[in-house]
Amino acid sequence: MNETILEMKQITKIYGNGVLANDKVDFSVRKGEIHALMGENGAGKSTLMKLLFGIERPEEGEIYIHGKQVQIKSPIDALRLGIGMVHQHFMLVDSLTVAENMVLRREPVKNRMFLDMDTACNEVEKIAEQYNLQLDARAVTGTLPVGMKQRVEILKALYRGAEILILDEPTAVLTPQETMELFRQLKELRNHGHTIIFISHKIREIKELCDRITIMRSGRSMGVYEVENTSIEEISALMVGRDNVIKIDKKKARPGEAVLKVRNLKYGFGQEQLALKGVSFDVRRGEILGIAGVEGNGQRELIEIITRLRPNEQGEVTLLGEDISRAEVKKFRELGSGYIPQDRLSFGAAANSTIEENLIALSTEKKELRKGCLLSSKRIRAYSEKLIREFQIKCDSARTTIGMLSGGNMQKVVVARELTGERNLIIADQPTRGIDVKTASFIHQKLVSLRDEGKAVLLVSADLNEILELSDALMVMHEGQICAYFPDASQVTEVELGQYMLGVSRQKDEQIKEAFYE
Amino acid sequence: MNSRQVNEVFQVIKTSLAILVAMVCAFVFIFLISDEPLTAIRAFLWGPFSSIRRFGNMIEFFIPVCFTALGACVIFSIGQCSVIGEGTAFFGGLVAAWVAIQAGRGGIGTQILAFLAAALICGAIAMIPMYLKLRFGADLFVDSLMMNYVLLYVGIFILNYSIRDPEIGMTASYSIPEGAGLPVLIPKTQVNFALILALLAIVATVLLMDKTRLGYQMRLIGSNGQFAKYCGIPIGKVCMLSALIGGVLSGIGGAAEMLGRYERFQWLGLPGFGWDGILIATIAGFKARNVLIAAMFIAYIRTGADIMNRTSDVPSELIIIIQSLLILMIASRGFMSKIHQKLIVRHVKSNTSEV
Amino acid sequence: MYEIVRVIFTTRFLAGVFRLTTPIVFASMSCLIAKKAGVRNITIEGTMLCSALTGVIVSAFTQNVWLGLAAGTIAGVGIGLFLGYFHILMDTDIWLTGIAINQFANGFTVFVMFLVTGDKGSTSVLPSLTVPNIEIPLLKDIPLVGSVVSGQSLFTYLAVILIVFIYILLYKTPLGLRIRAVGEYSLAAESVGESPHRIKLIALSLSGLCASFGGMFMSMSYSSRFVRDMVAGRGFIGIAAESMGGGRPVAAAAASLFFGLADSLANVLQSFSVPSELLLAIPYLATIVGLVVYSARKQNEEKRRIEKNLRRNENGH
Repeated sequence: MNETILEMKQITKIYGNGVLANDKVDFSVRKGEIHALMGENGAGKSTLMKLLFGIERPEEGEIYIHGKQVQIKSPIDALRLGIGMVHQHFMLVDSLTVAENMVLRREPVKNRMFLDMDTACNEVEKIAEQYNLQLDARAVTGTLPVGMKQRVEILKALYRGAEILILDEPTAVLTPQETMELFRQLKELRNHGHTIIFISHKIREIKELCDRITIMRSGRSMGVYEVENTSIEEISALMVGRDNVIKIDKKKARPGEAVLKVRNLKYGFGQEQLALKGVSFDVRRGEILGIAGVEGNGQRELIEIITRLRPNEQGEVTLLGEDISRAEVKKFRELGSGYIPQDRLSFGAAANSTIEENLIALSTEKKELRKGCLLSSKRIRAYSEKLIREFQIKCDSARTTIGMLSGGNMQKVVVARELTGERNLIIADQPTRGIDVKTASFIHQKLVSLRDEGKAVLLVSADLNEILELSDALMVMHEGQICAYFPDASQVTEVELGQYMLGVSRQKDEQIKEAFYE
Repeated sequence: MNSRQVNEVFQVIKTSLAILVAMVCAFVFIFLISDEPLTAIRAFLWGPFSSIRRFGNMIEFFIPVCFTALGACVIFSIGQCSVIGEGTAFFGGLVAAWVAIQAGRGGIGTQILAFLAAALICGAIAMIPMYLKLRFGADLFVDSLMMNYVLLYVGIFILNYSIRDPEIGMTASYSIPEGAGLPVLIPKTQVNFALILALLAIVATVLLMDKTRLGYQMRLIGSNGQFAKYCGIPIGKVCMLSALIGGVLSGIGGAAEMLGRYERFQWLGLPGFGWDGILIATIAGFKARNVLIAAMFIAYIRTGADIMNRTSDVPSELIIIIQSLLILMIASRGFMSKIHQKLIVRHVKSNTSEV
Repeated sequence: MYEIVRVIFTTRFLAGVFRLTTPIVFASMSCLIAKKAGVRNITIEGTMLCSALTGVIVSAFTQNVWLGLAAGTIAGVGIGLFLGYFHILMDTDIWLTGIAINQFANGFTVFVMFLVTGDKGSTSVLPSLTVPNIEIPLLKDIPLVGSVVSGQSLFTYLAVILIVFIYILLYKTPLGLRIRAVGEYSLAAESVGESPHRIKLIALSLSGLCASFGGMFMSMSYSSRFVRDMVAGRGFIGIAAESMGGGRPVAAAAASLFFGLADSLANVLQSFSVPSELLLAIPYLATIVGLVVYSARKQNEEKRRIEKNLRRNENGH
């Protein structure tokens, strides 16, 4: 049991954009254990696993398997070394049968040239039986429920001879019953001598399933612990915490009337599981309402429904007294809303267009950009240059392609566009992720000053510094629900917050209901 | 120099280099196959300027494809591939002839009516495949291609059953009334008033794409559809408008060709203007302001090729081959991509060192 | 009316349907195999032209029909790889590449024809060979059926075989499995070590192969020479047939038959002063309608699932 099967030493990974994702990380796994790899989003756990599976290459560091140093240049190398990975987005072709997916590129052949599906199915069923993971080898993969697909992925890795199995947040997409079933399967695999690396941020699951745990934070390893001897509170404190506290100067908020009202929002009826299970809250003038939470707990769906990018399925959204539950994005914008999206490159900017084209995207109706009924390049130029100065965007000219800017400057362009003009509501979704400290604090100050002008601000962030310092009131989302509401964010400690974020505790309904002011 | 200019300069260099390579290929071929290569090359390069009539031929070639190329610029600006320009150019010619024949007399009123009818009907037709794409997600390329054939056969049906002249020995319509054809601008050629329309269309399309909100919105959708949606741009409406305008332009192109150069409607197949338009738009980088040069260039080499064909032993089709190679080089992102990367990196470096 | 029906139910008419369907089947199979690998091949039209000419020229000069066939096939595969080179390796937009290659083929065939024969219209001066029609023993003696099914061009039988071949290739061989995997979700194929580029290039050469048969049918069986632009949109119709078939080989073949039928009907009805032009438009119109219905159904499935669950949820509360 104590033989070390995998060892990663002093691994450092720097991405092309200069982000230090792994900083001298040590990671070791024993044969036949279920080893949890825990950390917040951006802590570097996915990067570490990508390095192990050969999707990325490290700048520094060594990897040993069975005590022998190895080079892993591609997933093929990883597979050859007995490392299999179950991706969060399954690598399965929906229209193929289970057996076809499993044997792809290792197809059994009969009469020299034909696929031997009978043999394939037999092999698949044999291996399924061996691990006590029943499945129908002839079923079409796309028709299977998520839990079943995951089982196919696991068996696919085993079929290819994986001894070490990496599971990337496997329970994120599962129902509780499916999760139970998965755990049974994983324990079965452990009994067969397989080693499992289990990436997750759900403490209870780790407590139930895993033997040891490595906790990561900000690209560094926070150490290895025996799960049995470590309390939930200890783990949450190690995982959720601030490395250096940033203070933001701001006056006490004086909230006015509610600008945005969200009532009983439910979403995900097309999927196995609801992503939003009835979310209600208000955002008031002159207040920054923060939504804290580990990513993937429904924040994305919530924000996209409010901003009208996603169809609403059930529940109501009211903006300035108008029902926008089923309105077009245009309506949402016309009511004076700014939205800093999480995904800069998909939603926040047209990378091949110029800075000016990106800056004026919301203002083409404005008189100040026109001359008669045509757009005036001179006026557009003047308008853009004004914003470039005001928001300190570093660029050689307003006609530079925005894709050429650094992440921070690109974000300033987005922020400049979204915060300029008649605004009532501002939604900021991870507004400072992946950008430099200086730009981040610039954006924070902008948000605070808009609040002071009486705008309503809704802030979604997984960054504790940001959410605790910037928010006036604070909510926590967990598994598609609001699990806590704090009218005064300054009274919340990070340990307390961490426990709500990780689903360890949950407030009473009456407390949560205070999030709407009726 | 800012990075946008770096990109633009690169595009110019890339296009020029592609043209150079293509021309060298053409000359090599001519030397290989011709007994009198120099005569052939001279005919090809100088032919279009050797007489007023030949120069006229070039302009005549330019007119319809200028319209269809503008149409392609507008439709492709939203990042969709619709080849409806071919069918609408054909149908535009038919509609113009039909209106002129039904009107029974010439004059400016008939001409305006003919152009208007061609523009509106073709615009409406071009919206059909786009609507099917937006509403049902049906494949735009296949639908627009099929639409072209439907237009062709419906057009021939209308020709045969409504305006066919039984008196003459070929399948053609009655001749259009005197004075319905467009006035000739350059004597001894067929260069006609449509040239002015084409130039106006270029100006109008440039204004539309660069100076109006609609044009801006179309470009934004083409650049990043998700971003456009996020900004509250009504995607469906803008896409429909772009199809409408694209159809209007190519419809006018067909009408101009018909009323400018023909006495009877006699097209029994698709005229090819739509495909040429897409190719010209590709050379123009799908920017309306480059269409004048790109369409002139294609008109020049095609006319040159025709003259070479007539005066030497080299067939004009050589130039079609060369032209398609040229387009492959220009459209390919891989062609010279390493040099582009280097240019950009050097540019970024030199800038960051300044800051 | 009675006259029309009488003509339609002749064996000659039915035999004609099969003949006109043949090139469209080849084109639709060509489109299908490329699409399965995730590449929209719209160069089929041009590929058919190039192969048609190559077959004619080589058979005329070697006086060996099989060498002609081989050369035409090589030309088809060549165009497939040419498309692959630009689209896959040089990252060129698939539509623009396709349109340019079609134009290339238009020019190239006339150019070469002129160099070889000095004529730009057709190769009638070349003593090119044709592929024989084949009488099938036993079958040909069955009354009625025999005269429809037997005595067709070798290519027509090849087309039938090709449908089976493509079906078996796609669904019963390892290569087919990989092609389908790459076309649907290339990341999944990559994650088990398959190279999507390699598979796509293979699929495109197969696609060129299928198209080349269609082209050679036109010039070495349907007619006995190459005529400029003789494919006349059949390559594009094949693309439409494939779309109507929704990606299934047999359904695509059935759709091709529908186009062939419409084509023959139009031919026949011309002599009955029925507006044949409108009849000719029907297959294209049908494609548009077919595509819309097909796409709309796919779209609705998702919607209905959401609605069903919504209702269940509401009843549950």
